[in-house]
Amino acid sequence: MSNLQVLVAEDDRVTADILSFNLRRRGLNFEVCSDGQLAWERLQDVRPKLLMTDHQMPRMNGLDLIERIREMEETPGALPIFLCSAKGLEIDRHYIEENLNVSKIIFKPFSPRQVLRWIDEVLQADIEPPVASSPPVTTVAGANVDMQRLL
Amino acid sequence: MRGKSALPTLVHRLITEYLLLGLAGLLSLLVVALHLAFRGQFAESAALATVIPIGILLIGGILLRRTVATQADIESELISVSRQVDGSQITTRRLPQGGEVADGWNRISQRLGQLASIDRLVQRLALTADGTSHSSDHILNALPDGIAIADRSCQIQQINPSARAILKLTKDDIAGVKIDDVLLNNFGAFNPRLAVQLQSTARRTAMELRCGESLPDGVLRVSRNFLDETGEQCVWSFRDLTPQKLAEEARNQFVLTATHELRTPLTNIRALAETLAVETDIDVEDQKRFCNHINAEATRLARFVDELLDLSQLEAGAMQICVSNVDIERLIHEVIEHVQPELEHKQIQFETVLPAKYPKVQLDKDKITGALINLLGNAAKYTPDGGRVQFNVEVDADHLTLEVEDSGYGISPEELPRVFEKFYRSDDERVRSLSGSGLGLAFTYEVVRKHGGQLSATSELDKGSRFTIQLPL
Repeated sequence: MSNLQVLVAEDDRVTADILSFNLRRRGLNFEVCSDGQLAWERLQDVRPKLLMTDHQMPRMNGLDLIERIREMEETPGALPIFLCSAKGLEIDRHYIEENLNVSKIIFKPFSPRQVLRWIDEVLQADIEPPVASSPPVTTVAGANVDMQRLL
Repeated sequence: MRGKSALPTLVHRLITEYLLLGLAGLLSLLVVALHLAFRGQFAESAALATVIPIGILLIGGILLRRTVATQADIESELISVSRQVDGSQITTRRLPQGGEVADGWNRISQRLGQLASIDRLVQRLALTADGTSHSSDHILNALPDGIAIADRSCQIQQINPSARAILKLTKDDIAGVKIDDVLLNNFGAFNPRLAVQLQSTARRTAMELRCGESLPDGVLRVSRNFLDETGEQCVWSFRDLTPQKLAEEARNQFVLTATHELRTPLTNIRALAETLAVETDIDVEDQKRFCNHINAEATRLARFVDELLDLSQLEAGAMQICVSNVDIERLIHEVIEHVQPELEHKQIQFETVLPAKYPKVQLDKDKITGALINLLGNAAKYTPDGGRVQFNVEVDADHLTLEVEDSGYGISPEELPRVFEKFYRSDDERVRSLSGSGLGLAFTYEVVRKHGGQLSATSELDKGSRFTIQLPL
């Protein structure tokens, strides 16, 4: 599965189902793991273009998974990562965005269309290497404002 | 001295008065006798000689009586004093106003009265003081807070049992034991600033100490106040803050959980609704599945709202139980129907052992239904796919026993005693990853308790749990 585009780590069956449906419709090559541990194990074998992980999961949570990935990476930040979180202001955004180099924090509840657009951006950036793999902070802040409004 | 100059002594007065009276009597007798003798009337002289002395004696007697009236009163008072049984309580009578002697006596009497009341007061004070010291010791010993009195150098002078327990002082002998040393030995490792804090010379200081690495190990509030201006003596108090701190932590945890609980189903509903609304040509099967998802997520939200309402009842401590005759068989089947979809969805093997005949039961139908749904819902939730859940109902002469057993994740021995606490959720990652408010079991516990029944739990980690409700019939 060398052409795997998106690896999804999501423990909630319903969220996983609806994400899968949308990714499939978009014609993307993806896989879903039901917790962080399974995603970590899968990452030993495959090199996806993007990891989209939930925050709170059994066995290994999203942050632990990202920390492990960043520790093991040869080029730090090589794998673009989306973190999907049901937590609000209590998460440490600075740590997650700066230290863990997470491209985007997706706050729940999210819009699948919006998430697909972000996924498209990353995958297209991968095709055109000069574009920065992690979007500028303003975009993320804008996205957050958007989420707040939608809440 | 007014008394001495104004009043001759009693003897002096008696002698003077009697001598004067006697002389007057003798003189008048002599004059009368001479006069009569001169006239040769001997018979009259003899009669006079009898009458006059008797008259003089009578007058003298009256005068004498008047002279010594006050003294006689004093004498009778003294006699009555000498006859009083209780020597410590001298009671005297005030004399009618009658010159300085009576005044003097009255003063003595008044003073004696004052002394007696002071005596009584002293006695009463002594009794009270005795009682106070007795009961203050009792109070000190019965206080749940630890109290110790120590000198400036922190050497313990007095200490109550709670303080001994908190400071882990097992020896009876506290001579030379210093509070700061004990605190540093016991808690220094977990409180790096303790040594500095203990050096404070302020009149009052207070600090919160961790009793171990983690919160459940305990939190202690230590305060020290001077007993007086000099600070020669200090009173130390030790209060166990662990339950409050745990409750605070649980509450904070609940807020996080609540956020998660609300956002997750909302996320799914929104994503599903948007997809259904935006995407075209969705398979009928997919559409149906999505609608079922929306339904399930809405149910999940509704359950959480119910739990929030239960919480408000738990918080107020005012859960109202409204009993009526309940068809328990029907209730049990309703509960089973409620949890069946989730059990089937996770392909959990579900077995029931139900009695052939049910007794008449008086219960709060809604609350008991909620309680049973909590237990069966938990069993379904915390049992992995393909596991097993068993629901047993037993009836005997006195009890209705409802038992839910699962082959789920189980609860560790450390966590088992806490599962009925409000907001408490296991630290097990498998449990943390699932939605839950930490209120279900607290609610169930309170419902069963309000029915005069008992809720108990046994569990083994990775093997499963068994929750038993026993209700009196």
